[in-house]
Amino acid sequence: MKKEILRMENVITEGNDMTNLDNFNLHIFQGEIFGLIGINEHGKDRLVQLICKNIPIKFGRIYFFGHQVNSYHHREEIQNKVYLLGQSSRLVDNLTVTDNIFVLRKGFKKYCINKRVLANQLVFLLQDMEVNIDPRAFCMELTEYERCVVEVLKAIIQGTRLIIVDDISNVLSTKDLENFKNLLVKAAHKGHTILYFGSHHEEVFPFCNRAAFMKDGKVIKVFDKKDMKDENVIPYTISFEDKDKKIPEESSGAIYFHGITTQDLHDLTFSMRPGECVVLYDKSKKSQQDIISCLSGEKELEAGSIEINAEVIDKKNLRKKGKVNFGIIGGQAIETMLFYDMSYIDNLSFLLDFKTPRITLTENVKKSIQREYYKELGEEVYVTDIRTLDKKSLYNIIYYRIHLLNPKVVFIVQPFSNADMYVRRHIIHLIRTLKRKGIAVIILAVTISDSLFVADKLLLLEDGTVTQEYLPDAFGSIEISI
Amino acid sequence: MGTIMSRDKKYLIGNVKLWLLLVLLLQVFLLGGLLVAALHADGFKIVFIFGLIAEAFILYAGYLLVYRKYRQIDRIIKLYTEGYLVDNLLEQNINVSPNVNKALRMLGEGLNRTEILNISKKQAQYLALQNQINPHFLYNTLESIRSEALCSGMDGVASMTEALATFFRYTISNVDKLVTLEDELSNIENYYIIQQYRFGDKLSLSIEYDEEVDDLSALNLFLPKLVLQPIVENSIYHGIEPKIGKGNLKIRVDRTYDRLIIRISDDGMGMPDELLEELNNKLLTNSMEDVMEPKREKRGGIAIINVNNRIKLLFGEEYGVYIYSTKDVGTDVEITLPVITEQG
Repeated sequence: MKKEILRMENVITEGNDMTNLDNFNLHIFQGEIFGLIGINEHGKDRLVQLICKNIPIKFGRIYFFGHQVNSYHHREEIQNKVYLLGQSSRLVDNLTVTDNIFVLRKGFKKYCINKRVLANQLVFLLQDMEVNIDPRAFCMELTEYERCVVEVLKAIIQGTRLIIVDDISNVLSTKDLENFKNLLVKAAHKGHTILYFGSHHEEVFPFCNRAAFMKDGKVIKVFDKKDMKDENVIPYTISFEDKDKKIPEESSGAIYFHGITTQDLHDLTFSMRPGECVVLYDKSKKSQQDIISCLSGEKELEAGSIEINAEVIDKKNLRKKGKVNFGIIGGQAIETMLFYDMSYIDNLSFLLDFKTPRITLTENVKKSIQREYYKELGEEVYVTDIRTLDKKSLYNIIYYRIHLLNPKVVFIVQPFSNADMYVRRHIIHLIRTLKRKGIAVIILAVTISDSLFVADKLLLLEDGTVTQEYLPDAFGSIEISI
Repeated sequence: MGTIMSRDKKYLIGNVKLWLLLVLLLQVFLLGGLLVAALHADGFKIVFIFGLIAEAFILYAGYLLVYRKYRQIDRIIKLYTEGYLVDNLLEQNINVSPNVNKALRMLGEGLNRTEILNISKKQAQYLALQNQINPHFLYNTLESIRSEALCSGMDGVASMTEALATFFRYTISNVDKLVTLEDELSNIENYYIIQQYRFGDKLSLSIEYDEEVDDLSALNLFLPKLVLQPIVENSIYHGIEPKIGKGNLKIRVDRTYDRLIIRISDDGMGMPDELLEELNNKLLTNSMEDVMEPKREKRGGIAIINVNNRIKLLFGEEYGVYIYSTKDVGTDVEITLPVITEQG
């Protein structure tokens, strides 16, 4: 007979003068993987917070393992037995895997630690879960995949009733994500319960027992395993089609990448036109960091050259010419590419004087930029504190900065990570805006489903080499892995 | 004083009295301390420090005994006034003072009497209707039609009449009693047979159980009679009938240790967000007015509200109905009931 691990009934929570969770209902059975897909992010953080800790709620009841732990008139001031596995590590880097799993847990009261016994126990556990990790390795040496595996094992050893996996698809490569999902399935078969937050149904459906869509702080649809089909999802998704006029094909000019070789890339050769978008799809995720390191000057190009309109850029002049011709939008752009103590216009015009030394960024120049971009961005260009802006506006700053700098090629690292459906649509619109300006876009992706909406070509990389090239007509034949 | 304190200790007034007593004792000690201090050199300093500590203690005691309790009571009353609580207000911790509780109880009884009166009226109307129909006369007539149809070789009419007779027999008799889920589902299947004569292939019904375990045991659980049929009827008339093309109805049964969860899904017309929110809010709040005086244009939701109210009145506010719906896609109605293994 089924047992409910978590039950939330009519939960209403309020904070910052708004309702976070609005008549929220959810129940998760023991031993099941429940996928939760956010159409928007409204209420998600509060939900996670509420499952972990019994913070006050306005109305409703929450049961954990059959026991009422929180309601509008009574709450137990304890933490529920929940483990939150997110994008950042919760392990202690300077301790070994064994120490992290066995020693750093509640109820471990031994004064003398027999490392051999613990290591043997861990080996047994690793064999049981069919995982291969060195028990004596320090956590700082682990890959992201290994880190996630260790956290799951830690949760199991801690006796956690529910493991929340929060949007980890962006930190794992496709292969690692597949392996990790298999591990979760094994854990579920052994009676552990998992709440998996994902942003795509393609990511969630294949391995979850049930899944639900969440929007505006409430669950809008629950899917049983049988109902998890692509066609059933269509009404709950939004269109990513381009409603604006067609992007003109640039006939003049061409960009050639000749035999680019770095530590992880081997003889990468392809060509593209201005305004075109190429997706470099690398399942192993290795080449991404390599390309960005070379462009930013951290590493040197081993061999090869890039030819833009007959101008050749190679390892000798990459630094000098790179800053004019290339733009980079890194991963987790909102966290890494914005300066929250600077105003909107200062963020937007950042690096403009660096790229074109003839321009001095005076107040008049900034005002002129504001006037020019007001047509596209509206009132937000005059905002002084960008912390008050929503995600879409923050992405506007990042992409319109590139629009203003006008490089020949922009490299974008995993543009759709950590974005809900509406924000993803906005990012697609922003990429199309760059394309319309004639900027060539190269997307470095480990997940491709959203990238295909803007791509003109997809190159499949394996071991640093292009093994397959797909044009839009053949996109349907690509096996999409998230 | 001690008796009063112990009598009032669970009430807010008792806490206020205890706190006032503490304040009084502090004043007496401070006054005494001041008198003694006048005779010693460092006396005032000691009294000052002691006074500060005692003041902090009194403030903390005031927070614990009075303010926190007041906040708790105020929150419950606020929720009640917003219409959220379905349970009787008296079942909540509204312990202001014994007299206030007594007054609330008397008020509650008065309200209950009015409500009981109204329900009695409804029951009387229902009984009158039942007498008018005279069930046995109806069943016998339907049986006669059936045998006549069989004799004439009209098998379709015969089986339709049989389904109708069975449906009426189930619907009209012993409405207040608990029935097994198996009976309820048989009634749904019967109702589906009748509807099929009207909708033909346009309508399909499937019933699913938890495939992992032998959870056909859920079929022996008890639930109030006619909980499912009004919702299925709603799904057909408001969801599937206006839809062009085929409509599918699905009933999914899940049983846990302490709950029976039934989900009735249709892929019909669904409902707009505003209507869904309004309905779900009504299922959450006190919605007797809609049941007592239903507005004609809103009849679609009345059946669900009625079922929800019956469940909540019988089993408590943690059970009931919740609706998921998307316009032009379909509606899922989730019913949560306690596990009842024995009749009565």
